[in-house]
Amino acid sequence: MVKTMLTLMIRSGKTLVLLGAFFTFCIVPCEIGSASDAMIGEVSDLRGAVFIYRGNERIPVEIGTWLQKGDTLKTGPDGSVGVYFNDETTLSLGPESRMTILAYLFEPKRSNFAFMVKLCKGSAAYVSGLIAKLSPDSARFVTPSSTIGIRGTRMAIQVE
Amino acid sequence: MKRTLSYFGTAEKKFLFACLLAGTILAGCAPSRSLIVLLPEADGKVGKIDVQSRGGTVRVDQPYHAVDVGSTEIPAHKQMTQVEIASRFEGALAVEPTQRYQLNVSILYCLRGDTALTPQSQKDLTALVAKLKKGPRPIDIYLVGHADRLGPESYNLALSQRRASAMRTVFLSCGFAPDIITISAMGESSPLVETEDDIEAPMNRRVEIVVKSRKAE
Repeated sequence: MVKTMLTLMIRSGKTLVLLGAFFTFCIVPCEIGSASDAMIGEVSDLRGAVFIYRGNERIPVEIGTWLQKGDTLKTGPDGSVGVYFNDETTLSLGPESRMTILAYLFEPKRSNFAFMVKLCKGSAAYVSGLIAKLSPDSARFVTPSSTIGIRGTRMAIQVE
Repeated sequence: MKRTLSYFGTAEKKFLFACLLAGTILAGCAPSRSLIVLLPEADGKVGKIDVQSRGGTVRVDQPYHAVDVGSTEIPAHKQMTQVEIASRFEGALAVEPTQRYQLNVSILYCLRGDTALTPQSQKDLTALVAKLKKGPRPIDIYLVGHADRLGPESYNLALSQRRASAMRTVFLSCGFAPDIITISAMGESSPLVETEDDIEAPMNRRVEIVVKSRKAE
């Protein structure tokens, strides 16, 4: 159901505001995202133990591990990880963090763009890539108490 | 002529409020704080963020300014020291991936209902092309067409497509390879300035040019 909603709503950046609110406050527990096997980014930097939760799988992260939409990244007390997305967006997590990739769509030829991640706990640093530069309304960063609209920038986020 | 709501129109506010209520009652969301800090990019540029929470929306456009979002109160807006930021975000900043490319955005404005540029944007285009010819060779050039809300939505989508296509023709004639140029059309859906329907907004008639190039050494 969530997946259908996403497909229907994804085209409109304005709708993402609503969707962001929806995800933030109502529907999606931190561990769950809709599955898709497209590779959307790769782990480029790593320290300590980090895992991807994908469906029922728990995958240990290595440099070069690919990410999919719906993945949850979890870092341990000594873990931190940097991710390089296909559209040049970068995201890194500090220790004791948990983040889910709720939406990712980079199809410039079809004018389809979406980027939405939710940081449930811990800390993150984010740098905009092409999605936020080509379609600022389509990029959202969500925390349990806020939704951040991104207009081509770099920022750090902490949830406690 | 779809009615686009202003950034947080009444319907959105109602919806948000319903979500908040539902979130609080049904999901039993644990109250948590979020701290969001705007940082300068590697090249020193500073963008903008809009932080939306149940306390309202706060725009941040100054480097090292932070929004502290609690569970209920209106978010506070404060400046943090770089030392404070470095220690709080030490873990995440230590593994920030290196940017592999430079992404530069230029905006050129078009005449009403037309693909032709305003005189100023025509000059800007000439300067941009000269810069791209001289500097690091572009790896990808993205051309994104936009329109204001004058006329039907379908017309504006087509117009934004024509604007992007016309710009593509210009870039091709300037000798850029067709395989590095990608065009997108956003119609009236992504305005720089929010307006009611059927209102002229010269700022929204535009082509945005995003150039991906190797970082200058």
